[in-house]
Amino acid sequence: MGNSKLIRKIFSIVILSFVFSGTAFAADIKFQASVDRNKVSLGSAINLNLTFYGTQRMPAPQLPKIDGFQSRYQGPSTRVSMVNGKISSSITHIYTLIPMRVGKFKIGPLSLEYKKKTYTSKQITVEVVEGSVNASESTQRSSSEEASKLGDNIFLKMSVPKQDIYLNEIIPLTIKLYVSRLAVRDIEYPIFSHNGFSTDKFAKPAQYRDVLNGREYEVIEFKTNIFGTKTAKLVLGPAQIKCNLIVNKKRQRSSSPFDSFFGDDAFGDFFSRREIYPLSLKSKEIPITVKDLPEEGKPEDFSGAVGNFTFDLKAEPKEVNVGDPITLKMVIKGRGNFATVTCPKLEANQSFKIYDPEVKQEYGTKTFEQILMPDTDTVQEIPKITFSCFDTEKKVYRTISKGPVPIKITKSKKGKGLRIVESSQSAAKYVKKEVLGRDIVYIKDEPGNMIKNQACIYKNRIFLLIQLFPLIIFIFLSIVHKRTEKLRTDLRYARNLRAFKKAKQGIKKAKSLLERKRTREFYDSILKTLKEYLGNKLHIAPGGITSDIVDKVLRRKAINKKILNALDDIFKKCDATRYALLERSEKETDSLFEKVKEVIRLLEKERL
Amino acid sequence: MMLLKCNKLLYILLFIIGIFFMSCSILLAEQGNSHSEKHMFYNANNFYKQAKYDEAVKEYEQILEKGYESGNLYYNLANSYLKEGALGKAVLNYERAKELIPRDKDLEANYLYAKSLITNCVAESKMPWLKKQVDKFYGQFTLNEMTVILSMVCALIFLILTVRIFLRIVGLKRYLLISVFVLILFLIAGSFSFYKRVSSLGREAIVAKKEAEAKYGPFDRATTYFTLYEGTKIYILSTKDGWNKIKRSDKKIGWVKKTSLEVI
Repeated sequence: MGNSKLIRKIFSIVILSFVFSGTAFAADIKFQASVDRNKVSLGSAINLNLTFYGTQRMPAPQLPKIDGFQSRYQGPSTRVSMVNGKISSSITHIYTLIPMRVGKFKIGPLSLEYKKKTYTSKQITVEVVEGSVNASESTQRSSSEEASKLGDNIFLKMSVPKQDIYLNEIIPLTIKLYVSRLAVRDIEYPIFSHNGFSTDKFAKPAQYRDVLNGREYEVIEFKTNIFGTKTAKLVLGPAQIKCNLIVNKKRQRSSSPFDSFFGDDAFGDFFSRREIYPLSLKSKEIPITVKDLPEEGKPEDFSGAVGNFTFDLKAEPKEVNVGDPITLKMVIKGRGNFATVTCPKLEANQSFKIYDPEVKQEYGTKTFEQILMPDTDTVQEIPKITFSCFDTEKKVYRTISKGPVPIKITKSKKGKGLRIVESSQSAAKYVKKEVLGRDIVYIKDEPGNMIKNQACIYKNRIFLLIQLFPLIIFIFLSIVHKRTEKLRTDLRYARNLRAFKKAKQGIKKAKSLLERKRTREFYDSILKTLKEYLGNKLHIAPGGITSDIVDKVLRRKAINKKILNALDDIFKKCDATRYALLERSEKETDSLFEKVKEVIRLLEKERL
Repeated sequence: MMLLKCNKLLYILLFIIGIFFMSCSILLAEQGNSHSEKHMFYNANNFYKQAKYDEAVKEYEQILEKGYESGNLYYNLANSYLKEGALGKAVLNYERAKELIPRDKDLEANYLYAKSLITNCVAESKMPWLKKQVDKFYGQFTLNEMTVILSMVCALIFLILTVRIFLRIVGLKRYLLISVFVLILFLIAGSFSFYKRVSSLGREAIVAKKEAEAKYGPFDRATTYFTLYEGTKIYILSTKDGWNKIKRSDKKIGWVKKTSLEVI
């Protein structure tokens, strides 16, 4: 990205240095003098522009004294333009001419010397009138005439090189649009009435600057070719062109939308707004006389070709068998009306088969390709061929004859008839269509899997029962998995689930202690079991279990009062035995053991 | 500990599924060739070789009467019928053979040949592309094979689902789910095809006579709608007083005498 920017920068610097080296192009300097207006009122001024094309180093020339005007040098203005890769540069020295008196004055021809070369301009006529030019014109203006009043600033010119032409003679037609000091856009291709003429399409318009009557114009040139199609006195045109005029309009409306062009500050007003006016311009008509071709000296084979042509003939191949094709190539080149050029006629000959020619037309060339087929081997030449045309420049008929072309015909080896070369290869590949016999495939040697009363499996009950297996396994494993996951993740659930199992183990242990008459340890064990059970069930840490807490939590859960009382009793008895060291009778201990068992059993039934 | 337990469960699961697959294959491969029938078969083949098609047919039919059947038996019988010129019987037995050995190339060739001999063979009506492909795929299997395939697909779906439960790798879980989805589609398509085959059992028949007239009603005086030629396969819709209401492959429906048809 950065690189390409740098390259672009270097490239533009190189171009500019070429441009400003100036003298590099000085060899071909063109000098042109022009004024911005041909008509001026006394008291206002006109600009005289001295433009030097092909250089930018021309110093300001010293103006000679001009009759009727006082001159003042304004300064130079340089211009570089690049059109289709062609760079052109120019410098314009601008002088202000102030008219001193009324009358028609001639400016120039101006001539000056630079580097030992003399440059001369054309003469310019300027009319100086009294009063305001604009004012005098504006009194006559009506909106419909406004366009014509633009006259000097924009107009259309149509021209042909000659007005006396022959039938079918091609002449170039040029339509030029001259624009000076106006902004014009959306220029359409010109249309022109051409009754009795045939025309081509317009070529791409050319754009350049030109000086007309001492004024400089932007010129847009449209070119085409026309030719008359009937002999008569005809009128060509008028040509018409449509375009849009862009007007910079001031905020305060002046009397006419075009005023701003005629005033000195035409483009000076920065705060003006642009308006578009459609404009239709017309050129003058051109009377043209179309005459018939002269009868005198008209060749017999003349078929209407008008122009300056050359004719060439070629025959390929020159050695063939009877019935083989020979291509006759006839090329007609030159300038003129190719629409009138027809295929030169081969002299009637019995020994050839002649096919219709193939026509190709390019710019300045028309080619006819004709296929000939010799019928016999007695033919030794293609007879001569003539082509006649009428040369409009020299006003004479010309006949060009070519040939005869010698050819060698040999008898076809394969006898009479046409032979198509391409087919010989494909013929070799021809294979006779194979005819295949049709019958059934032979029987099987082995009986295969012979089964008595083959049953459908899908009717087999065992099979259908087996189908349930995967489903059952899936459901079973799903449940197992769910439970395992819950046990792993839900601690409260896990403890709750484990509570009874652990309590059972505790009771078993307590029972064995009881059997061994180790009363104190029995009380420790049974209390621990109960606390652990309650802790697991109620999700409380085992150390934090006291009869008060248990009572509080269980009461909240609306547990049967009988259980609460029993629990309370158990806790009290255990504590009394453990801390007060009270001796308990065997009966009491047994009843406590049973009570604990009963409480746990009841609590299992409750929803905790 | 927990992981070990899971693995144990998985092993149990795999073991059970293994047993399941084994039992399926055992059910499929029931062997029961009898020597005397085999002997009869070879005997019939000899008749065929000697171009005694009549006797070959008799011999083959005798094996069938004993209750034994096999794809090759039907195939050979059909060949003998065809050689005898009984096109209807030949097509019928090819159809029966197709039920048992659907992937046999010889059978396919002969069946097509026999079909080409049928006069005025009616083109089958167009089926949707997908349906055609599904039928074509499952048509390669016998009904029993198809039953096992579908049951295995079903088991596989549950197996994958079960494995998926115990699997801890999230990425793999997604692939398993996709495969389950594909298998379910496979199962559904297969089930449709299976249902179609089972419901057409005993309802497909072949025209056994040279010509049979399909009439507008189940009585002799009824107008003839169209004519069925020997070997044409038709679908029996219903039965009434010795007449069958049948549908031809181009969906034309008519009444044909029961005696002119032979159920596949």
